[in-house]
Amino acid sequence: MFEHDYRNEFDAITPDRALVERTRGRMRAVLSGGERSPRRLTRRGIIAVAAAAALTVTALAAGPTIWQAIQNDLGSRAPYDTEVKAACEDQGIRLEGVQALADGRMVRVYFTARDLNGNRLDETTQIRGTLIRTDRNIWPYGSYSVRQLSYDPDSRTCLFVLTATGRENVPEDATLCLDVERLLGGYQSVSQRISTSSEHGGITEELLPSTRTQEGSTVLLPQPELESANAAGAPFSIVAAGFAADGNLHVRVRPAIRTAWQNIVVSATILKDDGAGVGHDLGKVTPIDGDLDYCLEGFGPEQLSRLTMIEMTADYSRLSEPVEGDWSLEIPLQIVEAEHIPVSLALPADQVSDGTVMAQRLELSPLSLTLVCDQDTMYLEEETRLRSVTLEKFIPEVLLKNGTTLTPTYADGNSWWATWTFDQPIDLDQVVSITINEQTIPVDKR
Amino acid sequence: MKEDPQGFNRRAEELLDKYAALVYRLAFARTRSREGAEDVFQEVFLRLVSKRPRLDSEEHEKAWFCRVTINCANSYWRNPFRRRTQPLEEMGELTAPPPEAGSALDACLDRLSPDLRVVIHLYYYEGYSTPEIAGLLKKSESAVRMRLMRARRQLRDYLEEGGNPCV
Repeated sequence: MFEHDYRNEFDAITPDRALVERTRGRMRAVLSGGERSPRRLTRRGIIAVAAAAALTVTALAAGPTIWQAIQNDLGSRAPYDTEVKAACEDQGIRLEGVQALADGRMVRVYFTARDLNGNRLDETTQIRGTLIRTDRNIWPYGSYSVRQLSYDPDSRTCLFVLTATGRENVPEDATLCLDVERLLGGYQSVSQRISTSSEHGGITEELLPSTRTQEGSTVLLPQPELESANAAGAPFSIVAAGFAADGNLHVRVRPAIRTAWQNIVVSATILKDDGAGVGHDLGKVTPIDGDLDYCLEGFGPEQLSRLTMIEMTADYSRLSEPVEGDWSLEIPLQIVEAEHIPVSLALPADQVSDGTVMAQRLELSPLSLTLVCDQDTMYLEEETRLRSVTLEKFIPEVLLKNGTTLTPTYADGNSWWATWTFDQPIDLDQVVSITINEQTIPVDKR
Repeated sequence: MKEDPQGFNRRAEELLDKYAALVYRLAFARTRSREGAEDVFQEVFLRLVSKRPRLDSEEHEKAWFCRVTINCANSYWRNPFRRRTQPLEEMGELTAPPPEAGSALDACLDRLSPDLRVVIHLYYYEGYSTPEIAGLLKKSESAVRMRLMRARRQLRDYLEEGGNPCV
């Protein structure tokens, strides 16, 4: 029954002809050299192709200030790092990979951004981008982040470090690809939510006081109760929300600060027939007396029961406008070897009544220790939920031959794995045993 | 295909026609949105002309398109800056509610995680076996079987009640 229904449903799902022909046109453009295949998804638009030829550099080009900052951050891990040769340019900004440090579970990549044409970067610059692995279908990392380590005004160069922690073991030949789409100084973000059931500003079917602009757009007037309820000093706040005289849902947002750049999105969470909530942007924006009125056309009071929440999110910078472009750094990793140690450890689930989860493997490298559980043991056969276990609390202790006991620092994890990193790299030949949850696993050396 | 540019160009367009439906359906199964499926669809075929993979057999072709579609669809949701919104006009049921055919099944599929939906689609629609899916997803066979088991369990209401919504 299910298979039959599923097939029937998906037989009817086909790409429309326009999409196929649009794609064919873009393929031809790429094949003729007129369009470069984007590394990001296409709906974001095709960024003008800039001089992004594969440029190789040496780490020495980073200069002494940058170099020292990397060494300071690496500390005693420096002997394990490797040089990265990768560079790209767009919008007059050059990104260069400099150094990388990785084992199967964690990676640090140092890279620079240099403004070739001006002073658009500074010590507040942050990047927005995505990290992918080029050669596999699955995302091997649990989380990743990029932060700025230093800024050198003489060379107009920012140094960034990307850190990622893996949920799967990454093999030696893996290549990461960092796609950067925006650099922005002084980036900040703020959001405000209104629940339809909240006492102050809860949305009702009543049509609220409204006015019309000279262009004929209907907008909400500010609601005193919302204006007074907003936190003092909030850079952006909702001053009216509900149904305006035109019968549509409106939200009026008030910017309280002067920004160099802002991007405000107002969305409404609306229930589908099956009870799932889906976000809808309020797409029609009307400036009014310094405020911005956002409208969701076609959504009226009769549909109020489907509305669960309104959210305003403002990304902004008081300092600068973003530099947007298309930078892509491909970073081949050279993985520090790890030992995989089979174990059979029973770890208590968070709820005693759930029994235990079995850990099946330790992965020990000079840089980190990872505990991996058997996912099959996490599933309660007779029920529809998983055994929950907080692996972070099982702090491992690593005993060395010289009698020292090391306690690595928790780095990242999920329901079935957890990774701890060592403050100093360790010599695997010196490890005698690892103790987790009062159970000691001898590390058998050759 | 790499050493014959003209031949590749021709072949690429043939592959577009041949695998358009497969790519779009798998992308839709993963993203559950037309917008997402369209984005992934274009990305997959642009990768085809960008990477120019050597596809030696029909089996290899199909596996390549499945793998790259899953990859692109994963990237689609990985983008932390992607807003999970959709235009109001795509929500026909808001203004003209019920019920379209398959809505009960939709309700069930919407509740599955994207990873489970991919396994379900490859298994029930594309006809791949669990070892083949394991190969495509670079997962162990037991992990794939586990996903299928979880998906079936979550679809139990639908499976057992012959199409009633599992809500």
